[in-house]
Amino acid sequence: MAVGASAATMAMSLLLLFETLKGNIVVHKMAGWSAPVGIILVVDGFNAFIASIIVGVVLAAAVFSIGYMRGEASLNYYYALVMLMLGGMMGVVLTGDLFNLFVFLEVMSISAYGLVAFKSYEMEPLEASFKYLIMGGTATTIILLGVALIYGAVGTVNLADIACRLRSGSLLPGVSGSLVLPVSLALLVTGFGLKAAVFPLHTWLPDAHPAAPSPISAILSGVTIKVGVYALFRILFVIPLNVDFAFAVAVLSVLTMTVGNVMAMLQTDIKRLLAFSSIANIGYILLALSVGLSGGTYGVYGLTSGLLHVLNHAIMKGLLFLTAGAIVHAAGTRNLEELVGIGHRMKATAIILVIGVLAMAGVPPFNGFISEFSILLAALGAGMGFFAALMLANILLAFSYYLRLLYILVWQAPRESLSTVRDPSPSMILPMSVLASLCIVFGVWPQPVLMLSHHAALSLLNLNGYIAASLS
Amino acid sequence: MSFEANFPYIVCMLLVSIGLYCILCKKNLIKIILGFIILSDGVNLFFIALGYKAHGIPPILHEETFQHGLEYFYRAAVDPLPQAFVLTAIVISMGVVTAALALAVKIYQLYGTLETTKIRRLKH
Repeated sequence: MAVGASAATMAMSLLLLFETLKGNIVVHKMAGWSAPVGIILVVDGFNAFIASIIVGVVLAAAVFSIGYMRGEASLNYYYALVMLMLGGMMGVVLTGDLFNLFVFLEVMSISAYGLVAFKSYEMEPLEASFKYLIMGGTATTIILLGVALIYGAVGTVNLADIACRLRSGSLLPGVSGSLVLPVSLALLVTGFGLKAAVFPLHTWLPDAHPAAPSPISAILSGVTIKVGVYALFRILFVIPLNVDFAFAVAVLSVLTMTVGNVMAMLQTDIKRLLAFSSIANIGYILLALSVGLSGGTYGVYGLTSGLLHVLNHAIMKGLLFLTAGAIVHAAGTRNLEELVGIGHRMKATAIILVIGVLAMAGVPPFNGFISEFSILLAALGAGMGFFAALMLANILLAFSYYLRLLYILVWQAPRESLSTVRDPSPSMILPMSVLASLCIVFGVWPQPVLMLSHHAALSLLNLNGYIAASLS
Repeated sequence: MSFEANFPYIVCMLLVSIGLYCILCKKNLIKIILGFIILSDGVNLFFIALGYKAHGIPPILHEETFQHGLEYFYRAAVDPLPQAFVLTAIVISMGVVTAALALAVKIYQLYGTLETTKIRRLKH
């Protein structure tokens, strides 16, 4: 059921993607109310791109769940929560209304809290879920406060209408010149930054992502944090203030990637290592965003490479979490010291793991190299050489701990205790091999995805078209 | 604007600060949840205060409205949107609080305590 539903959603979002590739912007008026008053769904090239990524990863995780979750109790709740989370993520990405975005963000978050605590008979998922819930709930409340301030200042919550009124300067009386708009933007950025696990608000992620069942970790790390990134991209481009964000975002991005990579080096738990590496990759994407915010030709280039990295990281991290799930499922432990040499016992999984890890480490024939390299080039071109150097150092750091991971799991001689471990069932191998082949295909033939992400970046910058389509 | 006009907003921000303080500094799960409730209620009150008008009338057109003219209606009718927003936000925060309480019950069943200092096994 869940697989069928996510496959159907996949087909629909791909249709939307093709429609937007022609340069159209699809607008759906919910219940027939038109723009500034009613809630609308606005789909341009940017959010159709993100939506397709989300559905792809959820579909892979749903197929993987068939084998992985077999034997767990109350599976109907599990699949219901997965579908609810998919619905919430699609809602956040497709909506054209700030308050509606908050509502869908909560739908997504509440189902994520439930899924993290799904194995509620164990201690770790409960604590991780509670921490995630308190931090995430506070973040969404802060977002709501930001929405309230924007409503009080501008008198509308429609994204296109906000952009339109801010541009023409028609604010409500008593607002112009005051601190209301910068403060509300700061609140929104804080809230979405927590959802995207930006340093110093990342502390929930390394607890919540490993504690969840592995397909859920793949969804959480692959796409759920990208929803926060999507909201940051959209908000920072829709609400134009005469403040230079580029430098602040660049500093945050460098801190985020450094903290993520350094902490990942110290981990002995395979899923915790991958979770910290997700934080580092959010840092790379933020650096691309800051290049995009600084404008110019390299701005478009930076956004393109950042969006490409959103796609590539979703594929790679989804793949790695599924592979880690297969390993953990077979061996019954997440401790790297007890997993030494497990690749010798699980040949098919080991091949997929090597592809995923090399892609993640940024080795040339795979897709991770393309996007990381183009982010570096964009940062250099935009004159942010210092940040580019720090990012290069971070990529090398990531390379070192991923090599260590490969050395432990695949290279070393297997432990005695792992002698009965075998490859998982075909329903688990299938989504992993599809994602792994995507890693190779997008690595050796990146033109189509580059074209897609370039189109997405252009439609993010095309604010006039967005306003015209939403308010017509 | 005068202090009286700003008073509701100041109270709301006070509530928000109290809520944030409870979430950040308290060591008991129930107190943390209470802090979250205070925080979200502060934000909801802020939204309500935005839409408040002294001596406002409901924003519904009916026969009596036309006796005073549309201009009076425009000036006196309260803004209905914040109330719709807050209604949604209250339901959502109820959902979050319910989930948090359910987790707290589960944690109490497993650990026999609600003090975060005693149950925090997760690496920081």
